[in-house]
Amino acid sequence: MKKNDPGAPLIGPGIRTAVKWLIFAVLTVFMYTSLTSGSGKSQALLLMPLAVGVSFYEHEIPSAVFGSVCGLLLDVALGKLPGFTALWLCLCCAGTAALFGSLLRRNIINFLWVFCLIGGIYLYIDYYFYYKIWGYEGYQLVLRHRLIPSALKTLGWSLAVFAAVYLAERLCGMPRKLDLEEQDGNIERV
Amino acid sequence: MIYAAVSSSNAINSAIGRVFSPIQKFSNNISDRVTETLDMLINARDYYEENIRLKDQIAALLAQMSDYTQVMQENDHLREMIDLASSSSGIELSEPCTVIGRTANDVYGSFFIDKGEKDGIEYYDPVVTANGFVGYVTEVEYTYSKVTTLLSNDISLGVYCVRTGETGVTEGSYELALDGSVRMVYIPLDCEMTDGDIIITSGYSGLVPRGLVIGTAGETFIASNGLSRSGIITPAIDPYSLKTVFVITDFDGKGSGYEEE
Repeated sequence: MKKNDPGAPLIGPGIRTAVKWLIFAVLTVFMYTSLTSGSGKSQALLLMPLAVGVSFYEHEIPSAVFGSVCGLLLDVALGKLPGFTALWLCLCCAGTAALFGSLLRRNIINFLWVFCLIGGIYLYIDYYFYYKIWGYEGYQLVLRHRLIPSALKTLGWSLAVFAAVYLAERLCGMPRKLDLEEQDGNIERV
Repeated sequence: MIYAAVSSSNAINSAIGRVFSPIQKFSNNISDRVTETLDMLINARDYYEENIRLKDQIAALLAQMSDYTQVMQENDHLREMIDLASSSSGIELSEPCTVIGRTANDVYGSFFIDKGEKDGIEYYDPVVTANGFVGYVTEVEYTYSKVTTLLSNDISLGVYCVRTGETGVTEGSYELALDGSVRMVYIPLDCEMTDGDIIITSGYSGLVPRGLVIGTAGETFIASNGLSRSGIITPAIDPYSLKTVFVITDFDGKGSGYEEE
């Protein structure tokens, strides 16, 4: 009789993945509604850290798709041209997934600086193309009174969003396997 | 002697009372608890049925309360509609529209309402409340619409002062929008308009009916070109605090602007 593996998870990988994406979907809906409700003044763009946080753990293609969806929702909520944020987050999330898949360690410090970089560039692009380029009267005030407070709020909340993604990943993600190279029979040893 | 006997008896009673009163209290508590517990056990069925009956009663009262609140709101909306309809002739209003969301980080405070194409809303329909003009519908979907407010620099309206009859055009900017105000430009140099004068729509454009309140005038100053004066208007509406609005779906002179005359 075949003996069960004691280290094997109780729930199958398919269900775990489905539950994980369900949690991400619920978080997405919650963050979109929180963005459009309330006063509308200097809201935290929670969908952005969510997209970056998910791409932190996922592969390139799912990250790019999820980033596009979050970006599209951000465009709708912010009243911007559909695709403006979606394209940016699609590229950034795919890049983040590739970066953390092969080059960087997954920890909060790396998440924060990557998110600051993505968010900072987005802030400038948004400011440049939506306000500065047109040169309307008092456009600099928008940066001070809306965009920077919103960016700071987003940065503050990004830690909580990262914690939520981390928990979802820990609870429902696939257990991490560490393979020793020495066990690989294909490696030629001198 | 009698006094001594009586007083000693009182003393004994008092001493006994002091000793036994805590015990009596304790036993009384136990007795009450036992009676309560027995009562609960014996009459559990009655209590259960009473509980269900009361719950039903609460549910019915809550439903009545909800109906009452709805009727009250509807009544308020209808009163508001009557006020609006009487303020300007020949206007047709939509049903009350609830503000369902706001454009995040928008300086001009644009928002979404729960009425759209299926409710007869069209592009550039004016949006109002009983207090005055709010803005225009700038996006129409089947079930919802987006309203751009008067504070926006995309909106310019022909207006005039009720008291003096001096005309002008409203103009928004980021700076003014952050203060919640708009500018009135092209006011004649010799204007007599003063602080607190009421400004209303002129209706010349054919986009908005005449007579809708825009707000109150502030101090005027000579414009940079030196040919006219400008002034600041404090709108009668704060777009961030709106909960319900009305869309003017039709009015006398709609679409027949001065360009067509």
